Amino acid sequence: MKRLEFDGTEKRFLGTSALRELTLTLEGDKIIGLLGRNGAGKTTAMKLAAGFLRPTAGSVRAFGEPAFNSLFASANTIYMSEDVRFPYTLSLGGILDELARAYPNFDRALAGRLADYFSLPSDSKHAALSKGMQNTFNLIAGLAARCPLTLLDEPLNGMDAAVRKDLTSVLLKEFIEAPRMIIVSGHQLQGLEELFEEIAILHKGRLLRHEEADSFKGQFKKVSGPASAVSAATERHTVILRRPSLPGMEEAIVELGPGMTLFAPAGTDLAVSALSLNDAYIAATGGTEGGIDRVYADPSGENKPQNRRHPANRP
Amino acid sequence: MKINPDSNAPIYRQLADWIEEGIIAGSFPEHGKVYSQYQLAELYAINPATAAKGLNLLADEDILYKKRGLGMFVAEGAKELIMKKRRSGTMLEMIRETVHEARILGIGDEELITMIKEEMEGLK
Repeated sequence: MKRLEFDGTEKRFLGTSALRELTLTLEGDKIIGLLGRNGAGKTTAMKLAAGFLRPTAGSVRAFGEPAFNSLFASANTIYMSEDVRFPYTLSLGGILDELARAYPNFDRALAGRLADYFSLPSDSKHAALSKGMQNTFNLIAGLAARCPLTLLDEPLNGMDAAVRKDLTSVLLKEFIEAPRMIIVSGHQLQGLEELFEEIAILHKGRLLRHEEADSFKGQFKKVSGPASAVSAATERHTVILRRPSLPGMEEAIVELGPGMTLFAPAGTDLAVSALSLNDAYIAATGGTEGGIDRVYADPSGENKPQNRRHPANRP
Repeated sequence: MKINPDSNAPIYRQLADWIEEGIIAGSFPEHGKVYSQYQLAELYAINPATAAKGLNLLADEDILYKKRGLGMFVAEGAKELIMKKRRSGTMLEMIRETVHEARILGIGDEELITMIKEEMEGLK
């Protein structure tokens, strides 16, 4: 039985496709990163997996059953994001009590201890918390539920660095304590990227990649050195970005061809280095020719960019 | 040790190197138990599967051995094995880099050897 299966899944909102023909099968107890830029379809994919949305075409199955309208799937799935709303009459403690009634594996005592640790008083109201604290509470609740399919949509949004670090540890401890499939979406990964065993990248509503995090990372390299050496070293690979550095020198980010490697030949001034998962993911989804520089370039190419200082205007 | 995600060496290799250094320093004695994949995962905030890969790498090189259900242990002669391996690998690589840097800076052979000798004197 597959944990989660998208098959030719499409979702349209008011005629706009948020997801087009997504086919993706996820299995096993793993921490999986669902990556993509804003508008790539991550939240739509997660809400479909959680059974909150019905696909426009194709199917979404969780635990072998259609995710939409399956009691079995929803009892074993939890979705958390910063937009999850709770009944406003309940206190935080009350919300945790209710979740514990709904989810059989929910560790109520642990949730209480975590809430204390992160200074979330049990008698506070959810709506009275700051954005970052709401999201902290949601993540604690989502992990304490210990569902075999745990969907965390941008779980670290709005948190300060110290809390983010602590919650990264909580996520890992929870996974070790009660292994399950934890899918984490995000577009900024700082601190989380080393936790992913597998990644799926969505781009413009389609699946761009799905593979082991290590193997994905290994396909990208940064090459820098004299311009001619960079050209020679990168000609058999896909060059994603190339820019001048020191006079006469260049650096390039390349995606290696399948099964190919790239080493700096001994005795040259060429330096080859690896990319972090975050940089590799940005490289894989960047794809706009010339980057932001192109927007600022003068189309006629005649005028040099000038420094125009505008005075304050009096209305 | 700090995990460096931008390094050319994959994280499981960095982890294996760190355990190797622990064995050389005597922190992990022969037939002693090393950290489990879960302890390593928590220690460095990495995926347990990555940590397991690092341990298995050392097991494949006969530096560690597995005791079913008990964990990973340091093999007999592991220290010598690592030293031998590093002498022909890491050390040679560092020498290569040093010589390369000296060429860029236009440092002559004599001068480089003098610099190395001075450094050795300083460490005595």
